[in-house]
Amino acid sequence: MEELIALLKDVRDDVDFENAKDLIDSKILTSFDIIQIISTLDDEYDISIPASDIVPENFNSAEAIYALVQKLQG
Amino acid sequence: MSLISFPFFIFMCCLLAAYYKAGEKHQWKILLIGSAFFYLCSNPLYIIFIIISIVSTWYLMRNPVRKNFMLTIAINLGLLIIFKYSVNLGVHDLIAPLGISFYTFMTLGYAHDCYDRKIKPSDNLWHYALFISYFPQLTQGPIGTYQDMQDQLTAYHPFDLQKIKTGAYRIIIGVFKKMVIAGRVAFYIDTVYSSPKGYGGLTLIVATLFYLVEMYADFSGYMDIVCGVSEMLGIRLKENFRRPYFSKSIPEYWRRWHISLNEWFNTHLFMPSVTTKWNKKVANILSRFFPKAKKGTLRLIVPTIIVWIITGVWHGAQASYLGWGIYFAFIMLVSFCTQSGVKKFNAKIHWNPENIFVKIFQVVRTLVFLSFGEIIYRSERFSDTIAIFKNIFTDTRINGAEIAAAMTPFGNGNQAAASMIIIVILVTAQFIVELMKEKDEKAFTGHRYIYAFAMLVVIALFGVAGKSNFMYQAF
Repeated sequence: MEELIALLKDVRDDVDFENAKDLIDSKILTSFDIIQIISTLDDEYDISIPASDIVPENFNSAEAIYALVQKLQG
Repeated sequence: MSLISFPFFIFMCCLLAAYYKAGEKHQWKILLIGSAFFYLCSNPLYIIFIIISIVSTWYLMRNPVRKNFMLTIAINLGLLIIFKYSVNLGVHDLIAPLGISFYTFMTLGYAHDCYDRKIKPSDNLWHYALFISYFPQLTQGPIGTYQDMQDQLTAYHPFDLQKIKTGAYRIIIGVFKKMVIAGRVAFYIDTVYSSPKGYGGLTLIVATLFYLVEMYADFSGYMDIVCGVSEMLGIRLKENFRRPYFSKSIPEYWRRWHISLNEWFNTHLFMPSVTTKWNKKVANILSRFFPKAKKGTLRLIVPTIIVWIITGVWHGAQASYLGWGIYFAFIMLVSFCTQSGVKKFNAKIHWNPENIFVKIFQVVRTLVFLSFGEIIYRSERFSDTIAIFKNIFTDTRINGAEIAAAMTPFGNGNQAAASMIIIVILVTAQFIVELMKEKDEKAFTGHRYIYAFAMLVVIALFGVAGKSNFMYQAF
């Protein structure tokens, strides 16, 4: 999880990824940021995130992103 | 049947009476019959093509496997291409079925969502038929999604006077934008753009700014009318515009203009292309040439180009539309690629994005880039585009005779000047209303009936009855 937070901070260092639970719903992350995150996750965890998984529920918090990565790795 | 016509008024009165008289079980059937009647009035023979699309898509997507999804795409895109590009294929007397560009997008969006298991396929052919053919959104959108529309369309809506009033208000605003603002400025734009080579820079700049006004007033006016009509039936359509000319960047503009089309492209074409394996490979190759660039940014390049070329060609198979698509692909890519650099630079020079002058600068800059794109789009020939750009930057003379000549459709002398003054007052009034709403969405509700009445008077006095075709109807 700490590793993931560090990766997310690389994309946006001004966002409180440890505590925020509404990254998409409150428009904290833009679609441009989401694509940066997807690309980073794909490369770092050697996964492929399909477009059908790019929904707000999967990107609203660091925990949700972590769960998505685990699901795709499993 | 035009939405601004007496037959449509009679149609709506009959439909509303039948709709609210019908019981809980039958209300949606009245809508389906009404939609079929609307289609038959406009394009009787071609109803067969929308029926082919509805039945084949509904049947195939009952079992949303890859083969059926591909077949659905082939049938619907095939029909769209045949009708839309028949002129380019050498067939000149084929008329496109009403709303084909818009219902094809709704159909493909539905099929894709079924295939991705985002929605459960419809188990009722007639419910699905109503979703595709619902008459207010059929001709020019908004491109509704099955998730947003299906429950609303089949639910029972008891009579609610408040909804009738709100709907009527939206319709009046729409008619005002279309008949008074768009209808009036259209004459000037048509005159100048039909032979732009002879005009000076200032005349061309004014015509281009008027074109921005016309596009917004025409298209958002139409949306106000269809949203108002639908509101009267108790069904809320997706908003297609959010005061786009107040955008501070071109990407923001495209999130606020023709929202349903751009969201469609984002969901069904852009995001799927971004996440494909081939795009990942392309980004890896590009990173060899741009080692400092972020991989995520490189993954945006090809999907952005694809989406904008298709958006351009969707308007028609003309070089000007293709050029327009390429222009915006370029602007979007520059904006994406420079985003983080610009942010750092702004922080360094203590550029405060909340400062009013900074905001005004950003809005004006967006309008300038937008105008360049619309010059490409509106020009009838490539040589015209070149001439317009050349004259705008080199020919700064102010030619009174030229301005007077361009205004002849408004009348002569004082009459033409009076028309111009009226246009400026009306556009300013509408601008103030929109500015108030930009600051606070609910700002204008208190005075809206007085405003609506004033607009009704203005429509009666200055409306242009002859030009009631909407620009986007052509697509």
